[in-house]
Amino acid sequence: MIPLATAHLKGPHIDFAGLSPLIALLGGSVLVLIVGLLGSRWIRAQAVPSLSLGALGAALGLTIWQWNAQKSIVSGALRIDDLALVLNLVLIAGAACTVLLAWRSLAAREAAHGEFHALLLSSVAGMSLLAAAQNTVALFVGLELLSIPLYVLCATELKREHSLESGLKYLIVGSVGSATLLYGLAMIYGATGTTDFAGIASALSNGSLATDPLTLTGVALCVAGLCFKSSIAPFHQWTPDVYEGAPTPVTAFMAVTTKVAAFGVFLRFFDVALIDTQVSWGPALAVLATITILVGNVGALGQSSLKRMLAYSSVAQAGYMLAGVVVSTQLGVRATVFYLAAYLFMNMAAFAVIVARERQTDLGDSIGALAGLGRERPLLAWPMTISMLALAGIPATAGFMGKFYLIDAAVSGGYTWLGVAIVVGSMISLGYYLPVIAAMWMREAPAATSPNDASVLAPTPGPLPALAGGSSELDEDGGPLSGSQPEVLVVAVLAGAATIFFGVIPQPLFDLVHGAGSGLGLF
Amino acid sequence: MSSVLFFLAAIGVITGATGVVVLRNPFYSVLALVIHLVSLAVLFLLLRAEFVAAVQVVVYAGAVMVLYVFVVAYVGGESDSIGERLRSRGAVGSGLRLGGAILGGAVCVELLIALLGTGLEAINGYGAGYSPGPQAYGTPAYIGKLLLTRFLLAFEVASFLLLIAAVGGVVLARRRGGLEDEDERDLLTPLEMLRPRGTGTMAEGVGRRSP
Amino acid sequence: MLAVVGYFEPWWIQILKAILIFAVGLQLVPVVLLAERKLLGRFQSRYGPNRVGPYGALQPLADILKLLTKEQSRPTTSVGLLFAIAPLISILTAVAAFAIIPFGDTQDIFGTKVGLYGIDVSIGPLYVFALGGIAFYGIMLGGWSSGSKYSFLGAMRGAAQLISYEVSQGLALVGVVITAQTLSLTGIVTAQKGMWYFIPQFFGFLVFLVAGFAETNRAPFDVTEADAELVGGYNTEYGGGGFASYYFAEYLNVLVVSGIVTTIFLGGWLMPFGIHPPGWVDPIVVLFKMSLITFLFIWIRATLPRLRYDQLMSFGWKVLLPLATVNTLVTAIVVVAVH
Repeated sequence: MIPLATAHLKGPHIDFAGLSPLIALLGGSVLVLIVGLLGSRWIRAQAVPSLSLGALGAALGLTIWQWNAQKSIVSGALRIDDLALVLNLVLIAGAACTVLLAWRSLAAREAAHGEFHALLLSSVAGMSLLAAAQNTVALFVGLELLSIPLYVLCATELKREHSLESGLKYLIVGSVGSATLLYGLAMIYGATGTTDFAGIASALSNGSLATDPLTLTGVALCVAGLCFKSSIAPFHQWTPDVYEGAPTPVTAFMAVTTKVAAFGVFLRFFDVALIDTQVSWGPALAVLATITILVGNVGALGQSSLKRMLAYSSVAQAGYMLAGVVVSTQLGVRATVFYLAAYLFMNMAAFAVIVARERQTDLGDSIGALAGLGRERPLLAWPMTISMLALAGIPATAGFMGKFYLIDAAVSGGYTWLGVAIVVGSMISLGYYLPVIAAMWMREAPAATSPNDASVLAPTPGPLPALAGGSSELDEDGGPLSGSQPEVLVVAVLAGAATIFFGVIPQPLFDLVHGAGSGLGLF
Repeated sequence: MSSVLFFLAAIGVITGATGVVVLRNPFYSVLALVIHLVSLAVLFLLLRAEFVAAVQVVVYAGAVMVLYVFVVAYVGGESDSIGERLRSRGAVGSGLRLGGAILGGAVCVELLIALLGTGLEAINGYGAGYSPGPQAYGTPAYIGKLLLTRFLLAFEVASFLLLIAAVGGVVLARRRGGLEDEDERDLLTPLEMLRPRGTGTMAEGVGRRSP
Repeated sequence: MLAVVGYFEPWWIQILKAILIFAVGLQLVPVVLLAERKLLGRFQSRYGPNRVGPYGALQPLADILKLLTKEQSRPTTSVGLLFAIAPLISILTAVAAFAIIPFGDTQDIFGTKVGLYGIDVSIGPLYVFALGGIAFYGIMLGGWSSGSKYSFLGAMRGAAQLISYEVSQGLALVGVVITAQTLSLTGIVTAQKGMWYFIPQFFGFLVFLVAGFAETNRAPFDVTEADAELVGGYNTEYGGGGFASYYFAEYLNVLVVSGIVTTIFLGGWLMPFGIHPPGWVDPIVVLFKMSLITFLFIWIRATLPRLRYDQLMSFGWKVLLPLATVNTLVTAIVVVAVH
């Protein structure tokens, strides 16, 4: 008889408390999927997003409940520490904003609400997994759980060709990125013989393994793979097309949260597992960061599509954040995490305004849609202005504090020239952020571009104008619900306010990210 | 014996992979990919990873590639080759192809440097000795044990990933504007679900009278 | 390189076994062919073949001779190389799958231990599924390369059917594997000493058998070659040797499925009531059980009408697959509860 029959397998200890935010997200995903199949239109369109907000809220609560935890769970697959928890907070906030932005969006309606939100929540779960992964297998599975729903989400405006194209492009480029990363991980496994971050670190710390060509090739492939995901030049070419084509709420989600997850991996994988090869990847990443800052900022100049402009801007921002990874110090980690949080607020404000304007005019996301906004709808114009100023790094905004922090980290980490690159990049960036502000406050609203547009552009009193048939999509679906969109406004105003608040009083955010830096065992 | 098998399989792997890229007809490209995957399975066998080899054939050659073959056989004709379209774009097309070749070559050289230049001794030696038995390395029992202990989380999350990928596939394949069309449709009672839909006539079979 | 679990056999025994298995397979197929035609005749109240040899016993031989001496023709629209290779793939996978069926426990022959089977792989049934996956290409390429619409449609149907039912078939086996706690087929047989698995795993048995009918494209699932709609399905354009190959592969596959069912659900070479006959009886026991299953195949072909294509698909995905899944789940729960 086979001896296995008598062998009793002992499963690993599962710390459900540490796993609870992830469980809340995945459970919520299944729940909305099922609820989305039930009942009437009202349930689908209203209850599903509410439930999905509820799941995010539960995950948020559980994350806060786990605060100050320091543990490895499920046989070392995940590390629950302040870094993971802070990133979780940012991810959940980003996802909650996306749910609000997508509440009445065409994308959620076309893909069916249940499915849309299930995909969204599982993507967030993948990101949260990624931010906590300390095992290459968990890392890769998390990455796929992040990516696959996102590919589909990009294509959810099924009747618009650009949306499908965006999904397809993202799928292909994303798969190449995943494959590259996987190849790199396999090589690192081959060189070190282990998949645990701690094991890799200890294998690299003794002997000549840290300079072995196999290891270094693995590291290089990992860098390339992660650069695809976080759209760092020269792996950024997909970004503008995909951001432009995807439904705007999805773009907002993608722009913010994938960066958070990708930088979570950058921080944990490079600053923990591969810290002994830092001599090799540090300068390479620094060069990549510089290229990214230049390419992103120059590419954004003269873009007429706001989403495209923000895509290039996000490339540039990724370059800034990479500086915090390069120096691999506690300060660097804190600066990156701080910037990620600030980046969430800045971008969400901008995207919320774009979503609002897309639904009010039929100019889509072109810069013309914002013309004259300052006089017409100050409640939309102000968040956009703040967001643009913050992205450019004007003082008294969270963006300024973030950049300041990053430059500080770069300089004290011995990469002064990287700090200079950030400053130069910020200067260039004024060249495309300011025209947006100028369009809002100095240009007049354009003449109606289509007959049914007149009613939209006529000055309407109050911040929440009741719209009568703006864009074609509104005509198509009609309904009284398309008129006002308080939830988008709430996102815009709150994100804008947070940008200012953390620019003036950054201390709470500093305290929040403080623990994130100390957990990784860096200097 | 194992060297002979290795070289046969390695030739299969490389020809298959080259064929995927070089062949003009998409159907042949897919077949070349099948050859590649099956040869890869043989290489896994040589590494004594029997389970991985079988799964490679069952999943890739037996399921994934079947779908490819389906689509290509239905949709892709011989006239509609990808290479044609690239070439017809003139300078851009040839530039792209040249760039692709250069990049591919660079990656190949880099990987060769990595594999030949490494100081790891295991790469030059033979693999671990063969130890028969149900718990040995590479057997299903061993892999199952790893999946349920060390990689439990990845295993469970992968199952969720499959679910959500299926959901995504349905979302994209449905493409008819969500569930709004059949708004307020009646919920089926359990009794109605049990009842066969339709009576099995030819008219229903050809879709003239849908059940 | 598929190594034997537990012990090594000398190389010459392996070669001998390979030849023997091929020979046995080759001999069994005409027998099954004849049995089918005779039995179908009985079921339909006619005589069946009775001209060639005593009781028509030499009929399959005459059939084979006829097929092999026929002119090998090929449609002008066909793709030459693939058209020629496709039947080979079918035959190759069928024979290779036959190698895994254990006909008996290890025996002492000429002083060496010999297992009465081609190979006993640690991956067991997965090996069959892997070959089943490759067998798909035999059908698919045959249909596609013929350059005929009937062949193509038949091949497409066959392929869709193959992958749909392979899922349920695999899941049906999982219950057995959980109960036996091994994937090795000889291990599964020895684990059935107390009770043959078709009793505790009755639903698994049913699902596997039904999926087996579909896998081998046998009635009532033979939409691949539904002559009323498709002339002859994927092998419409084949004549002579090519057709004979497909025919051979089909019947060998029937034997393989019978053999697997025998091994996994009917206790392989074990006799009921704890009778322990000498080792040389084992193959006879297995062959007897296999012939029972083969008889069932023929019986069902004579009894049931062909399913419509969409019924076939919805039956596979909506009935068989959930059933197999539930079976697996219940088995797992029971096994955990018992241990």
